[in-house]
Amino acid sequence: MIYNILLLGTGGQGIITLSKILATAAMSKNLKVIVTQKKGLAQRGGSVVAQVRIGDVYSPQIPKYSSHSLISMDINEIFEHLGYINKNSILLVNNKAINDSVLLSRKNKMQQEEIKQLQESMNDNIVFIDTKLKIKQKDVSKGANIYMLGVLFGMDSRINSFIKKDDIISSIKKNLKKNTELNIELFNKGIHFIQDK
Amino acid sequence: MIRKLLSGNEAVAEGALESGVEVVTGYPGTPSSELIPFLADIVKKENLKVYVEWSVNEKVAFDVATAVAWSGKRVLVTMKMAGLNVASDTLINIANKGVKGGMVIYVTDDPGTHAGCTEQDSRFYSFMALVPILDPSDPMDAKKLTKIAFEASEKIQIPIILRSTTNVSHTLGLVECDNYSSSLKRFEFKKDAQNYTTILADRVNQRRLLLKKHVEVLELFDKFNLNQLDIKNNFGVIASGVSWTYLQEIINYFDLELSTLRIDSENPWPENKAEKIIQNVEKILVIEEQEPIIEVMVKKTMANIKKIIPVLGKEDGTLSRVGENNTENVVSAISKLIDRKLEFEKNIRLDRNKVKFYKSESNLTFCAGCPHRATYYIINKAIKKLGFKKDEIIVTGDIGCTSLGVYKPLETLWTEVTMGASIGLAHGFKISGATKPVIATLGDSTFFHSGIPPLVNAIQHGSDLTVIILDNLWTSMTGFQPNPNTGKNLFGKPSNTISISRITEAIGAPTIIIKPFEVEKSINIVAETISKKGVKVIISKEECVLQKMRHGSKNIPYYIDQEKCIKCGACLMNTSCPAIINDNNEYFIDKNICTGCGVCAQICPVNAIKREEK
Repeated sequence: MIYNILLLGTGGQGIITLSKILATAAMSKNLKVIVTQKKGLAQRGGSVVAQVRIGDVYSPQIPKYSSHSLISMDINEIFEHLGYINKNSILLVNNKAINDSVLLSRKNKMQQEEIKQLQESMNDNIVFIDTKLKIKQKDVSKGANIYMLGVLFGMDSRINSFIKKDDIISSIKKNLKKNTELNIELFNKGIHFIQDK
Repeated sequence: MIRKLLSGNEAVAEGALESGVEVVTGYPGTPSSELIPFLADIVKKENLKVYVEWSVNEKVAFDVATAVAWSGKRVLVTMKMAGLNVASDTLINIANKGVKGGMVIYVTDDPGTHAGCTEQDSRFYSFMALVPILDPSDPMDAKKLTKIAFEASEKIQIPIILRSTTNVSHTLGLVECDNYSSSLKRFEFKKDAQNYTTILADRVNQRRLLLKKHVEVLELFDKFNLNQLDIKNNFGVIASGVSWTYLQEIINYFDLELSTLRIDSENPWPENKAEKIIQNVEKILVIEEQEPIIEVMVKKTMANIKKIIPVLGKEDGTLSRVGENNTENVVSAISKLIDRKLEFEKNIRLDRNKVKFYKSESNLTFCAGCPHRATYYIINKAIKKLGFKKDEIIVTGDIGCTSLGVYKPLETLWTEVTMGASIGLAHGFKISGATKPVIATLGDSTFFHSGIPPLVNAIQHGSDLTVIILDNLWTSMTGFQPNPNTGKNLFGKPSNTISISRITEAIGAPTIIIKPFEVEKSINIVAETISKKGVKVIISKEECVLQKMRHGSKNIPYYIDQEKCIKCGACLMNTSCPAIINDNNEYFIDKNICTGCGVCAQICPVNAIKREEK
């Protein structure tokens, strides 16, 4: 039994934090876990990629077509990583792309047509999420990562068979010393995303 | 025994502390940089008696570590592959002289070049220097091999290389950790010039002894149960490093039976075990990162025992000598070995004709408020001011954050090679016949690391160039390590500060300091300096903005007055600052990102960019 999750974004979007939260939760269940982080030049506009592998795993890399889910904090990052997913994968994509000014020459800006094709291939397994969040009437700019993790737990029963919602909550408490309660609230809010939709 | 989630780098730090390491030195370099800060944190928290330093360069780190090992204490020295090139002079020399305390050299290779260096297989140094090597496959294994390396090094009195790759160094896995050793060894270095000076030593006998030590090391590795052999059937796989984990993944996923030999040490080569697997199988696949070193050794063993069987690997193209291995290319190599097509999740693939996969082209840039952006803008404008075109004036670049001056829209740099090369190259272009001005640029840490000798050389030989040192006080690219210029050590405690301008003036270069955020004034100074004869130094001094903010500096952001803005885009086009947003040709500044450097405000032709009221 294996669960693979691919986390994508750029520097400062909380990819490394998400991978730590998942890994700590898996450890608390005595599961084997491997996390690979690629974060070269992240603060200078480069990509951050984390692969989290839980269960009967040995190698740091998710095999092709074998990611059970993918969370992308940036719409531009997903097309490079489609080789990891299959028809049963769950894709959660943050609608808010990062500032294009960083990417003056990023020619491959997501085309509407390509998004449509991906949506047709993935049906209900791809969800675009607008992470402009409101908690207690306050705009929350950080915490989109935790919210999206909540969405995953609300959608994917496979990950729930490894780690439960409460394991993630205790992991958030262990890993996030600042705004802990707010993040737990965001996680819970994310879980209800699909029902509320 | 506690289970921790650690990266390969962190696991080596744990292994070293459990082994009773007393001194750790190194120079930062991806993917090795996280080891020393992680270890220093533990030393601080647990109040351990371990001396840790970021040395000025890898050669110095290595020399310092050598003396520690000669004093009978255990020592770890860390660097990236390019750093071992710098330190290799000492590495090759001291192997002959041996060590007293255990000495482990941790070097990280980067197959696939994630960190932007050229691919280099540091295992070759093991063969050249006659220094044994261990090749870990995951974090748990890295900790285990670190401890074995210290034991073996001290017992046989030989330094040992622990060579990791990015996918081991930056992978987090579960590691079982023990208590840290607190046994301190007494300092003891006896005068023995017959051994410790190359000139007096019986150098031929030293080499003979060194080769003998390799036999002892191999016996010891066998006792530690390294290089495990498992004969099951006629298909043999020999694997090392992270490739061993791909093999395990595939064996488990597809429930395969294979005869395997795991190589922990390419040197000394486990000839007996290689012989056994060759005798027992009909075909062999060799899986290793980078160059076909194990593969060639296997073929050598075959020749020795006169049994030649087919070998799949990098020489026949089954696997590639370029880039890193991954589960896919290993699974297809195993398919070829066992003549059966193995595939992950084959029935649920996306239709590739419908969904296009492509690599996004990202353009790196400096952080918002980075002083380097301002400096390169100033250099470009100064070149223009002197009446030259951008592509007429050679500007050599160097390693670190300053190398980002190669990207759009600044595109100032023509070359970026190795630490300190900017100045040597600039002098070289000049003597080759470059008639127009030549400029060399490098950061402060790079200047201390390798920038001083080429500057001395250029001055001695009466060269004619402008050296611009982008001084941001930190070694930022690799994670904000302190350097001789910072005034702090890696524990954040005050340390002596070495002044760059006093060095450059002392060796005879007229030196001027500019403030990069004073754009117009600096353009004039740079232009004036470039047009002077001789070797001149400009120090563009401004602290790394990320460090400045981290240390509590609050900057007042700028905003764009939409009524005055003529939507020319000059602010963004000239800087690619991440804080400036182009929303359908309307320009805004994200005040959460803007650090208030004010460079865009000085570029704006209509003064539409203003500082927010506090």
